[in-house]
Amino acid sequence: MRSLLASLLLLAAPAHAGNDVGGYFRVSARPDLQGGNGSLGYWNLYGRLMNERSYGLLNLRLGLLEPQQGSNEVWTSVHARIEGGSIGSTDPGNGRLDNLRLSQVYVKAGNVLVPGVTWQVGTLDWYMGDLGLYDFRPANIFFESAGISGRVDNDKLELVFGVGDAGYFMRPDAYNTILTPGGTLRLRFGKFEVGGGGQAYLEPQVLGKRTAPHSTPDVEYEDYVRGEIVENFLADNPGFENQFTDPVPTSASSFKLVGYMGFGGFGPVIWNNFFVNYTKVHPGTRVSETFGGRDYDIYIKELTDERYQLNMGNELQLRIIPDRYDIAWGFYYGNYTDGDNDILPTDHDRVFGSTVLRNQVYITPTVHFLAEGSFAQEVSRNGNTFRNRADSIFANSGGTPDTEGLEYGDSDTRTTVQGKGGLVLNPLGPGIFNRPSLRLLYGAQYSTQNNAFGNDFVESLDQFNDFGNIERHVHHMVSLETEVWF
Amino acid sequence: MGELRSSMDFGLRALGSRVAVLLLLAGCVPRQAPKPAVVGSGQTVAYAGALHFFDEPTRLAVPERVADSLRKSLERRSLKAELVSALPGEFGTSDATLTRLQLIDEASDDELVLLLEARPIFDSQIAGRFRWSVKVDFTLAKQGELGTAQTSSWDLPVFLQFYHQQEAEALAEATPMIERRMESALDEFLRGL
Repeated sequence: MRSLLASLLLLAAPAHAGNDVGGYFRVSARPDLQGGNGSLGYWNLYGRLMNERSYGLLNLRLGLLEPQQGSNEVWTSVHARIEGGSIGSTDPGNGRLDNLRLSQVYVKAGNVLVPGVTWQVGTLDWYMGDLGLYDFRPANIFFESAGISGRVDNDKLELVFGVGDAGYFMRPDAYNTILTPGGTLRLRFGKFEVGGGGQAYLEPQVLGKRTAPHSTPDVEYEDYVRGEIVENFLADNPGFENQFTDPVPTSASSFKLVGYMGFGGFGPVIWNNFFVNYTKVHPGTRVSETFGGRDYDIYIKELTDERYQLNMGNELQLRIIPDRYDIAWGFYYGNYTDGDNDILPTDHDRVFGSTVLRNQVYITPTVHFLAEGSFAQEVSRNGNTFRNRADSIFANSGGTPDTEGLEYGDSDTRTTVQGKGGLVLNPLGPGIFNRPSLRLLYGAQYSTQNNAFGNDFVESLDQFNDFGNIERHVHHMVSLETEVWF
Repeated sequence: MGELRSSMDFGLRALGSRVAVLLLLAGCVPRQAPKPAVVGSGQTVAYAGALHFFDEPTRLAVPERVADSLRKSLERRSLKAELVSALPGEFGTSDATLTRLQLIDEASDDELVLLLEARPIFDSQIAGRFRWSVKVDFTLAKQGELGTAQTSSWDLPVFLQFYHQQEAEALAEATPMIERRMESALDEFLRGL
């Protein structure tokens, strides 16, 4: 009788909920007395700290059939995610819902059809890891895809494979099917891991469809970047407004190869992550030109199909003095080339690299001191693209002012140094990446570029500029911020 | 205007310095453990833990930090902890809390029995991290009177940085949250004795 009562009491104990809400928030107040918009620099290449703005993410999970550990019983769960870069009182969006998006919805099911395989149908985003100092994820696949994937995960390997459609992500206003088969394989050998994989993007030719890949033949690249294709065509063919060159249907393809290596768990090495990707950027579709009061579509597949990117990053975490002092060191390198373009400085044709070093000293388990420094350099392959002085030239050719010039500014190189430091309160104890974190930080940036931070200064050198021109290479600010995963 | 700006800058720097000093001083104040709401009367507590793995056998395990925190919590309540490390294989193969309690009960002579069961389950990838949900059942009972058992159940979210971190790391990451909840569960149980 007593045992029965005990059993009944235990059965009556509250069961675990199969539903939960998780997410991520990053909120900051950064009064900027130098006229910026609240970021220390332009982007995360200098380290994510004080270069990122506020962000919110809610992740919803409904467990319909919970996994039974150690068994092959079927299980399934529903997942949804809402996220966006706007929170009230921290950015121009002020938290309005039109700044958020339903970025992920999928169903996961395990042990259906094949034991040990977790199927996912819906959105498919998956990454092999993260560079926490940068908030970069070079080795991710299916970020743009909705479809189906399968995952096998045990103590020796992780295999992810799938196929989807990235058409709506890549062509939101002009959908065309872009099939994305892909997969990754990661192998574990004790304290060493290695992995790789990739994803293809296949956009088929579709006759008669305006949003399918086409190429307008006989277009010079310089005419394309100047927006003078139609003008020059009609200069050569006067009166041929109704006979502008017909586009030729074609197909388009691109790919992404990813690699990963990780090791650690010995000596002071907490863990080291290395990620790399080599990507062929998917070609563009079309641009519009207006000439003589009439719009013309120019199809640019052949003008945008030789863009390649190499991205690699490494992050090493070290425990220097246990429970007292940790460091995280990272580097990132990018080499982007555009075989179609030798004349216009763009983000598709540049080399950049940076290194970031973060130190965190644990004064007490919950009160820490943080000091981080970074150095970065960005070089444009096709000439000037940065203005270094308040009175620097604008459009130019080889440094000579030229209103028709394709270059901009007086330098092809931007060098940026940042330093940040301050107090960090971590209620859950030591750890550089332990969260939640409440931070009171001071940050300073030196850049060779003038006013190298988000701002709305008037740059015109016109004598009627009411606000004058400001030259500033040092930008600094205080940040009150918090970051939490939950 | 330049002077106003420079004095504002100075004011902000001075304010920031004072705030930083206050925070440092606050952090350096010796932390005191919370006074227990209820105190026992010198009983001994036999405890064991079960860590479930998704595709491996369940392990008899209580993370060292959790065990240390548990011992200190019990000592503050005039109770003494005794880890039961030798249990029959059925402790791992059975999924029933009552069965495990009975095995601990039979393996010890202590007046109270405590069982910590943890089931970390991978949830999803969120903003660069790997989110796990650590489902914990914390059960206390009087020896020989398992009908008095009280179970507190918690679903604790943890965020692991690396793919190679699995169930054991998820449980370790949940330790600060387990420690805090253990305090309330102990008080509630002792109140009923």
